[in-house]
Amino acid sequence: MQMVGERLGILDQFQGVDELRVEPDGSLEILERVEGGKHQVSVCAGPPALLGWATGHLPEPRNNPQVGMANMRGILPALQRAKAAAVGGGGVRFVEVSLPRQQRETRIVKDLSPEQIAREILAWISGD
Amino acid sequence: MDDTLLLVHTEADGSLAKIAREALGAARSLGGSLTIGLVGGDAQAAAGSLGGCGAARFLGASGEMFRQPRYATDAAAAEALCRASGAQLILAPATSRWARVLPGVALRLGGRVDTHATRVFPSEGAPAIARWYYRQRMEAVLLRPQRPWIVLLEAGCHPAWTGAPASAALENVPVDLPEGAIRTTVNGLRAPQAEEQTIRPEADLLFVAGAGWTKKQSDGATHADDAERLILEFLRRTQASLGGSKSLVDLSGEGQAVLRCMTHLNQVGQTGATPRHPKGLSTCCHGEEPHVVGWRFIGERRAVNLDPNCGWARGKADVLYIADAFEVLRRINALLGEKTQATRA
Ligand SMILES: Cc1cc2nc3c(=O)[nH]c(=O)nc-3n(C[C@H](O)[C@H](O)[C@H](O)COP(=O)(O)OP(=O)(O)OC[C@H]3O[C@@H](n4cnc5c(N)ncnc54)[C@H](O)[C@@H]3O)c2cc1C
Repeated sequence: MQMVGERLGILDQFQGVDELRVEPDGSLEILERVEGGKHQVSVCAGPPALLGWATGHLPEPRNNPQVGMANMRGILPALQRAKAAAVGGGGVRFVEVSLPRQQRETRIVKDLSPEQIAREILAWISGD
Repeated sequence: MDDTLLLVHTEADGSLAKIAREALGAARSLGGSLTIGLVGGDAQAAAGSLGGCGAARFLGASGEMFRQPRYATDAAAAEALCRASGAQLILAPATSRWARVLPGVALRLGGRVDTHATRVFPSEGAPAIARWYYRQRMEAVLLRPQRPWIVLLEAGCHPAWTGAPASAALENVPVDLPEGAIRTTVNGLRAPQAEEQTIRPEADLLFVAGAGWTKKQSDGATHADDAERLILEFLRRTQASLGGSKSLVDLSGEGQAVLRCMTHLNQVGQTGATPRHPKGLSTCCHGEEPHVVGWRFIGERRAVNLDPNCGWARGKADVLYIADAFEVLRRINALLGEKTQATRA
């Protein structure tokens, strides 16, 4: 997005935007997501501006496993059959691709009282 | 090894964030000559705080115009510092401020940019980076022949540089801003509507609440108010950061009588955040894969769940306590309360 903005000569760019309000004078009040779940509030004199939109006040759509399954069945096989095409951005060399080790050795604690568990968790949190 | 420029910016209070010192730690580990580029209201003070890091040069774009994060001024400053340094590798902490501008700066420099790097290290005499793909499910190591190469390094990936301040000779670099380029004013930060600020990226502990907190309990009733009180008290006492499962966040979004402290920004997982904390404690959350991929960068993981067959039991946590999270959290809060009283006495 930033590169497209640069090519168009747009110097007012905002990313992770959750809210955009056009003021009566044509200026734009823009809320961008920043660290710590906060928003940075900016006022831009007006277009042209480039905004990378986040999800606004809406959460991610509700879970929809049916759509996920349909995608797995339809889109993934099609992707696997597709021929690789050069799309620019060349030069990058992947020297290694790996799947992380998922499995941890889980210790399952079944027979401690809430009090004992509380003490154990506290000791762990405080790094003892 | 490439000559490296580390780009950092000051925070609102003029200091440098921990993530900036982490990126400095990573830059120093590469060997090769290091230049520090600082952007901010008062770059000189910040330069002094890094004075002992052994950098060959300190370059600054300093002044009122650079106090606030803003694309036009930050891009111009970063561009000027990159050109003045002549560095081939440009490393920057992945703050929202740098993430906003550095891809644009790469285009100006005719270089390349990679975001979300989790490691940068020398390989065959040149820098290589590691990053994750497909929502932290695959890790790749990659090299690029093009220079300059800008790399944004995520938080929590390298120990922070902790050396002492020392005097640093800051060279002020002139920044070329076309007439009328500043069309945006930044009016500060706004906290989300949640009653309390609960997302704390630098916390040692991530506390995750799942939908179980709002489900019917053994007495056949729901206890959302209790849940919220217990959770908020725990957060206040431990200063942990609050995460939520998607199910819980969705419930909160529908305005049900659930946890008012939870917004969708708290969601951890495949379609949520992937926070970085040394430890994570999951409560009343089932630990399904789409949730747990968001735990990729959580070091030690523990969970409290009533169900011994929940996802955490299947190699996703180090320790799983089979217990009622309401009971456990009540006891933890009580113990923390006693501890505070003891230290006061
Ligand atoms: C495409 C897609 C993307 C998704 N993305 C995400 C994502 O980003 N993040 C995410 O979280 N999920 C995501 N999901 C959903 C995920 O699969 C799960 O549905 C969700 O994580 C379940 O949330 P939960 O564990 O809080 O709720 P539940 O599955 O309802 O589990 C509640 C748990 O609470 C326990 N419990 C109840 N009472 C107590 C008590 N008193 N003490 C202790 N334990 C108790 C129960 O035993 C149970 O394990 C995604 C799903 C899909 C299909």
